Amino acid sequence: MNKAVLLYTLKRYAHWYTLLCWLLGLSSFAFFVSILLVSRNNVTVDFARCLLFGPLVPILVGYNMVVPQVANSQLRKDGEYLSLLFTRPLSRCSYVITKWASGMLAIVVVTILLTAMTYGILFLVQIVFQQAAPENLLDGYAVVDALCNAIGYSALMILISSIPHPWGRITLMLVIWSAMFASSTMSAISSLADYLALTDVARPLSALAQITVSVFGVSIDSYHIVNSGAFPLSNAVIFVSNVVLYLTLSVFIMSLREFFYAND
Amino acid sequence: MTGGTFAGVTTTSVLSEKETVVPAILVEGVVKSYGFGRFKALDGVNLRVESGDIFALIGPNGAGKTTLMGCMLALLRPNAGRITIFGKPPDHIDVRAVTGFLPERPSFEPWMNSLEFLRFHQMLAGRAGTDTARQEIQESLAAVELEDVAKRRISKFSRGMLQRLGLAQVLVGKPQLCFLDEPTSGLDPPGMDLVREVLLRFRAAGVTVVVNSHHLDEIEKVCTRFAFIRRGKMETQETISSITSKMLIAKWVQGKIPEADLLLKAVSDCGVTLAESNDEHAKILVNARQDAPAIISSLIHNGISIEEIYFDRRGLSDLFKPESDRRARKDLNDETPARI
Repeated sequence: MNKAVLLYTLKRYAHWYTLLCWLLGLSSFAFFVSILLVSRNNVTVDFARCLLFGPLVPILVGYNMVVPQVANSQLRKDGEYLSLLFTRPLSRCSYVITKWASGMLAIVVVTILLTAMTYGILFLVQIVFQQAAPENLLDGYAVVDALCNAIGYSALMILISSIPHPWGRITLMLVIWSAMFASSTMSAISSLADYLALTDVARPLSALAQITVSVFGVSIDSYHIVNSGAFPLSNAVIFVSNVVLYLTLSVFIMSLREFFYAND
Repeated sequence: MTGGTFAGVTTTSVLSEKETVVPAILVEGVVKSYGFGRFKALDGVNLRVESGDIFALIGPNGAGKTTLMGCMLALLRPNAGRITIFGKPPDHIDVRAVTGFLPERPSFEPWMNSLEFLRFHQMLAGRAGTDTARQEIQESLAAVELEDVAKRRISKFSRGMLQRLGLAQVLVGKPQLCFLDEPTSGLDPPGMDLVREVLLRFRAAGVTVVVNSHHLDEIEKVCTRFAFIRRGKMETQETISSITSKMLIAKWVQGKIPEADLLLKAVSDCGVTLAESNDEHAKILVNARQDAPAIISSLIHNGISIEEIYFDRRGLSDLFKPESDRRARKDLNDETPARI
């Protein structure tokens, strides 16, 4: 981990303009989540919970904060001048790990801010309309899931952004999102087939969904891990191995990358 | 131990005695191609830069200078050949700790101000936290005359100011080896003087510098050696003085051709070399322009009638002329002994 890169990356996040943009965006997001929560409908509350602690926030933060700092794309004005950085005594491995850590920190801070804002709005609603906040919004599972999402999605974003060509980045992103969408669809169909006692359909679909998740999954369902009977640790192992795999791949790609600075 | 005094601070080398005897840069048979080998940007390039050299890389556009610099900085990987910097691979952390680099087109973090930017690079170079760290930043800013805009955001900087800041960024790392790509690009005349001054101070401090520039007159003033590269191949590696040596041409008064012995005596009395002589003129190789009055005086004193005397100065720009012109000129200069 490089102290200078970490310090200045965080300093960059804390720039007043970035902060202002993010605060405006976050307050709108928190307002939307609060509307969903005050409806006190189970579906909307679950959806709001998923918005707050699910993959959306890590992806948004990662895409807007981590990617431009690593991609070194001329299209983004704020892209770092990597060719100049890598002439300094800074290893590419150290750079990747530092960026992952700083991305993770940014995601955690944004999630905390968002949760605090949501609770703030709910508190105001409680005072004005005497309507209590849902009790099952923030629990230990939500905290663990949010933390794991920050770790996992930051690694995924680093992997995506380490690819030098913009189209390469877009392709990888599409492949991963498609795989995750396919996996959740397969899981849903498998559950339905299981309910209808169609075991010949349910088992292969479930296996395929598991395999897809084992390759691309960077989030965790802590409730499932704690309460599941069979192989409760398998999801955790998959999560850890995927984070390690993504970081290793990022370091590998960054080590192979050439920086022809005249064309940066 | 290498080192010296620069910007008021004494620099000492982190390299051991053993490491300083090896050349600063050694490039052996480097090949670099693009487009799956379709275009060879570098084709078997060999280069040797000694410690303390102010070395110029010159050549026409697209010759491969930037690619060579990129390979020496380990930003590009050669397809074949070997590069060592102070006897180590160019991507070695120890090498990077003593390397400074000024890119051709500086595009730094626009949200930082000059002070933050220099502090960041000082930290990256591992020089932050020392007693003199703050002073070194101030000195670097002063060296490029940017003290007044130390707290101005980089996004508000002009092209020339960015170039100066880039140079300050090189200085703040206290390098022992610098790669400067077009350091005078976008600079006004005072800015160019400033770069020259910095290079001269580097030379005095024993810092090895590799400069890639098209400002040949500036190179002639500050560099000690140069390499000329064309179409990815190294054509020449010489000292600057060998290519910019000054030739004094003395034309005889019509019909008054001096005797050979007399001419040789007149020239040798001044401690200079007679390069060539014929029925029309003599070419005398002088060490410095200041030698001219003594030579004229000696020629007149020996009774030689001169109609006209002037300097014909070879320069680096000659290297850019078509090969046929240069060969003809080289043949003319290589004709020894002089015809008398």
